[in-house]
Amino acid sequence: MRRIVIILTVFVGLCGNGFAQNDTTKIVLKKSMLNGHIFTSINSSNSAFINTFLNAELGLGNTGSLELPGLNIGDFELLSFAGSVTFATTHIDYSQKINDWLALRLSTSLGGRVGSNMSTILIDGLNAFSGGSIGWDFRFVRKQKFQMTGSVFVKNIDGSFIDIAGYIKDIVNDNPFPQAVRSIPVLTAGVAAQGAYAFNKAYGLQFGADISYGESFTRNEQSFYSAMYISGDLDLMPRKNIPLGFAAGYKLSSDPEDTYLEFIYTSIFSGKIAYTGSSDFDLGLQFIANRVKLSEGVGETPIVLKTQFNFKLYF
Amino acid sequence: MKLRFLFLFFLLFSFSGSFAQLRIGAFSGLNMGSFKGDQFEDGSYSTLIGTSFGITMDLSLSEQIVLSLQPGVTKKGTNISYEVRGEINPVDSIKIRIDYFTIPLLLKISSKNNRFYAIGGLEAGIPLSASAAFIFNKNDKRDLKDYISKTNIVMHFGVGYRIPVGKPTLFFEARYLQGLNNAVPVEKPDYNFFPRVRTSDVQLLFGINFPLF
Repeated sequence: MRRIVIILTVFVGLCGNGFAQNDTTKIVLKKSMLNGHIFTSINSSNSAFINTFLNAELGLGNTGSLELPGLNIGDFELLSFAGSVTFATTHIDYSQKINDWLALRLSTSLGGRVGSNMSTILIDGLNAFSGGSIGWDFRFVRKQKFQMTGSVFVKNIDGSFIDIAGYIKDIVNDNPFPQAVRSIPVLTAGVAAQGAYAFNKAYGLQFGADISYGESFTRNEQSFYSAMYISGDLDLMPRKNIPLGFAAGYKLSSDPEDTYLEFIYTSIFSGKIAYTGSSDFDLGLQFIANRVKLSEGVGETPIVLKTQFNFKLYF
Repeated sequence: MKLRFLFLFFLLFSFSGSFAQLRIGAFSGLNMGSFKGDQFEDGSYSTLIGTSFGITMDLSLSEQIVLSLQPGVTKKGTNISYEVRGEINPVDSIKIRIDYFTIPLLLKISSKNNRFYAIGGLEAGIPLSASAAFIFNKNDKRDLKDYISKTNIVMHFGVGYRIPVGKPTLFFEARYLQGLNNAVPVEKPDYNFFPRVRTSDVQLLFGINFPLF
């Protein structure tokens, strides 16, 4: 009996040691936290925090059915069909933290819109952009519940336009230099500010604005581009122990990546559901709705519904 | 004017008395240049390798922040490659070479270990010479200096690593340089080499600096 007690004591002791080791294992939180709150970001590339991370976004959207008025040549209307326009975007950025208050950020984007059938391709053409930006993020406010960073950046975007309707118009109007394909490079430089406020462990608020100045997609003209956003988020993990986060946001933007190269302001409404159970990555699905102005041939500015996959890995 | 310079020096040195250390040194390295902007029919820009060298004057503003003036010479430019029937890849056909006297004013901001640092700032470049050489006809070389903007404003973004070797310090840097203004003034858009382009360079540099006092 005594031997059994000794064996049990040693066994329990060993098990205890084993668990004790597990208990002391630290989970290092690489994500950003304020006041015990981990933020679910709508604009995951605009962050009020200084981190080393890799962020990837992949989005696909559609306008739904459109009635296209067609191309008027004299008294005749050509190419009037119903159709839709499809949108696609990819965005990748990498931020390298230099110290607690400074990071270097690189990003690249690719996107475009194209008609889903021949009639919409003929009327709206094909509009695509590709490019990247490089800049510095620097933190200038850090309180227990509130943090702000600023950014300085330059952005290079190449816009490519295939305008078949315009080309036909040029030929009909005897334009000596009809152009079906245009490629316009644009360089802008700008500043931005991003803020984050944590009400408590569950609720947070993020906001920001940017302004940039540089070339426009109309040659020999300069333009200002600007955007501002606000988003609120809820993390269920601290109170319900469910690894889910929700966010809702609004953005007003004239950035070419948001307006698909047309210089107008567009209102963007977003909702996001995210997995919040990891200490070193964000995974989410974002739903975006905004109005986009299509080419002159399309009379309306339809609502585009887009679904975007987000993945952000912290190092 | 002299008074202004004296005031500026006084201001810089009085920024932080305990860290106001001045280091001087020299750097050299590779410049991989190209143009970003308008492409032309059947042609594209590709990298032209040049050199960059100069001197450095580093003034410590605090334990982590250094203000650095780095006047030097940088050989920038680009190759212009054309698609040629029968060739899979575009063929380098024209070499645009622009030598600039460059005056970058940069900030170096160190990480906690004081070895790894970020570097960024602005540079003004004054063209010393500019030419277009036709690779398949070496006798045909044209002077482009009259077509080049008189000043090239460039933004620097980069990272570096310093290794102390006694009192001197060796450093290695990788930088991306983005030209902010057109390399060719827009008043001459008819010149079809590069109607709306800016310089775009990647630099790999190494150097050494010494504490002066």
